[in-house]
Amino acid sequence: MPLDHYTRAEISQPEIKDWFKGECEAIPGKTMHRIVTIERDYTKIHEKFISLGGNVRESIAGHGITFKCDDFYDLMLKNKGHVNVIGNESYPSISDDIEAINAVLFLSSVTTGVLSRRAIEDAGKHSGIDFSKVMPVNNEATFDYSDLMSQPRRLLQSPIWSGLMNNGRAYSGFTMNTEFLMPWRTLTGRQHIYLDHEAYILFGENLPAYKHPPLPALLGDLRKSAAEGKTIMLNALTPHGKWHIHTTFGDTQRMLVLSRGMEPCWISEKDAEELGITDNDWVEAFNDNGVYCTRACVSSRIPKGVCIIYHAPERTYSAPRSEVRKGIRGGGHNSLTRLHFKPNLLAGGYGQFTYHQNYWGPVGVTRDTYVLIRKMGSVVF
Amino acid sequence: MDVRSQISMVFHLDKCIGCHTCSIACKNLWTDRKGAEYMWWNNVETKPGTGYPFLWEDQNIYKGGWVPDGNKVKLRGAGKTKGMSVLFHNTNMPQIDNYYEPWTYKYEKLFDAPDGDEQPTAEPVSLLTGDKISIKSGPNWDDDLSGSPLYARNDPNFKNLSIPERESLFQLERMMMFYVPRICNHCLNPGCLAACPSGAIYKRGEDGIVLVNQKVCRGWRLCVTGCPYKKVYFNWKTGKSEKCILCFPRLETQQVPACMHTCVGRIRYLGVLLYDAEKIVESIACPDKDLVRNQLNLYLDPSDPEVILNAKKAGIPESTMTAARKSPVWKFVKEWGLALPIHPEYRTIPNLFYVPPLLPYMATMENDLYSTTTGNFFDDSENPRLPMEYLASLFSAGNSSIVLEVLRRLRSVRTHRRAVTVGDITGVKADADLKSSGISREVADEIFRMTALAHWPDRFVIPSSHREEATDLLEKTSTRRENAGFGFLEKPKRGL
Repeated sequence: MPLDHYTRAEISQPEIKDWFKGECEAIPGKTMHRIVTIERDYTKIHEKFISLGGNVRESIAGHGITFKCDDFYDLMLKNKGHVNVIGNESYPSISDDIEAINAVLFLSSVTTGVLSRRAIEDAGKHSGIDFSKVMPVNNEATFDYSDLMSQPRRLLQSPIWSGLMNNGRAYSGFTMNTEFLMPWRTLTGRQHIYLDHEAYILFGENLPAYKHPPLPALLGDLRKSAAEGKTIMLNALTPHGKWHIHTTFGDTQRMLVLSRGMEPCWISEKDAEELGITDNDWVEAFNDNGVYCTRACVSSRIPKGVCIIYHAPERTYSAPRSEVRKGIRGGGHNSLTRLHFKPNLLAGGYGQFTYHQNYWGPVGVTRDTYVLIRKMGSVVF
Repeated sequence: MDVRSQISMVFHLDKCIGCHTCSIACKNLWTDRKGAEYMWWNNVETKPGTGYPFLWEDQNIYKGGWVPDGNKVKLRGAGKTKGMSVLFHNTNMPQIDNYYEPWTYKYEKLFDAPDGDEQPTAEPVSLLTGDKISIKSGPNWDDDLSGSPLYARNDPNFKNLSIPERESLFQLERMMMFYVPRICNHCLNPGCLAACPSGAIYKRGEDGIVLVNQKVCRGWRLCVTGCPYKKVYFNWKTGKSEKCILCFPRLETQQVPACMHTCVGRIRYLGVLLYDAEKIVESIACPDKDLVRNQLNLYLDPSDPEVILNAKKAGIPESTMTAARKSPVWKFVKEWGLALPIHPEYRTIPNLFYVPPLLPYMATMENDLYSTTTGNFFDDSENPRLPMEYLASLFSAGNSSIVLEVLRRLRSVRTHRRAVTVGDITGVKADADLKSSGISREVADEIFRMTALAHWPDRFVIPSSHREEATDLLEKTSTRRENAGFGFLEKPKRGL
């Protein structure tokens, strides 16, 4: 397990010392990552997969807040139609989707009044702040899947999220910090942008600093791919789309009609002219990592030298075969990308900086890369 | 004075984020049907752009709307004589490719494709023919300046801009874009209605909503030509024309039209305007530059005793008068002078008004440095980001001074609020700005509240529908009883 944010581990490594090189003693959770022993009964994998285990009774935790829910777990066991018996033990069933949804709704601090209260009490215990003003008014408040089917419901206040939302207030992040003077989850407890960590100082990033984007050779994604015919190299960026986060709703017929029927490759008017392509022509973008075949969307909004492919297109619609890769079907935007890590992104266990893959880290710029773009001759699906 | 009541709208363009949620709501509710696939009664356009259908604003192509004819006006591409002459061969009709050929995907292929080296992919197929198609356009093909060489650069509203002015709008550092959501304007002088040879289109007496009677429509499609906004659509399945009905079944039950209900940016306002029907013809038989002022003079003050008296004579119910006095549209259009009709030069007198976008500079280049200091944000500079001629082409039939006046007022409200809330502009300067644009502090605060904080009942003031009046029109009151609750007396039929 990584040295996580919201835990004591985040003050454990103010300096860079490698236990592997003998620079310090190897202490799990302090000078190295945490080690957690998990026992598995591989003869019961399926049964475990469809049941909610008893470990949840003692603590549900998130963002440094912990609360017990043993009594609620026991109530779930009384719901006889939704219990699995494995050996001599009974467990709440999460074997079908609605059971799983109801388990989450029953045990979450934002959907069950008593658990909201417990989470808020826990936050008060850690911070010494009186949060009684935002306690849920109705302890019995809860809702399940059938309630959500009939109408949307408001969530309850929970310190696992930093926004105040009691009394019908719209969620806005960090209002618990600003209005209750709850310390921020940083080294100083305040909003701060300076970090005195050795690795950040060495990288000259102890304060936010502008650095020129890495050059193509440094990224090394075009070592093997050769230009074929009329081709240009562009900096490829893959931000979130206008109407979808990742694939969510992006592939519905309605949204595709409003989005040119696919995720196009946005390129500048000048680059398009140089390549001899007009708007809506088929192009393929490729590099050593892969290939993406799509249509060009030529726009004055794009600076020369850059192309943008929103993520994430699915290969389930309008994905033709690539010409440069000898007829294999083109991939998605991530076929072109890989993670380019700077070493300081791996530094952590200190202050608000914690390395945790795909959870705690920089925005998607680590995926930025360079691609070659060419016009496609024929389009074969 | 012939007082009539009109449900009208204001769209605040500075608040539109171009999300198309309005379009989706409308499509899901009304045009998710065979024959209506290509129709978007509500659509959102990026400006500069060519819109939907392609180049709809260019009346040299589509011949929509009215042109002056002595002390009257006549339809440009339809009407009694002209309409008859083109009845069987109307070359000014937008074709499906001017809209777009609707499509879906061959999703079955994902399940029933034979074994192969590659995973299958669903290809696009036409919703009209079922054949594979190569997608060439869509309802918002030029969204966010997509395909700018072909679309944005050919925006008909650039006609009064010099080539260098146009070119500078496509330089990355100073380019701009904004969104124009469009629905039927429910005009006072509808081109579609006047063009219909069958008399199938009518303007409802109680609220001015323009509707196509599906029983009377014979599918001549001259309404499509007659409407300069291209907001009447031909349904190829039923053989009838269809258009935005302003969600009248919702309005009649005090619900807000679906496009307005769902609007994420809360840009939309709806309310009653009273107008004097006697003055319609004289208000449009005039030079272009006078059109906006003439149109604004048509609308009557619902608090004026003379108007109240004449409204009573005209049978306008008290509930409508109350709604007219609370109407946010009255405030935006008449009291505050912040909203303008779109393309008034088509002379249909549209009842959808737009608050033009301020499009402030967000930054300036100073000594090669990108400066985001706030000094010049709302400065009324002689070098606007968006040339005034462009906005004037959209919203004031080329009369730049009208648009400039509106923008000055909008700016002075912002300056005033900035002085109040941030304090980096002095109250003296803010007051001077307000004075020069002719509004008081109180009105500026009211504008601010209606723009930024207004709640649902402030934004939508819908008069009660008077169903009892509809019942009065029937020969037997039992007809209504029979019609209510146990199905239709006469089932609606498809086709001719």
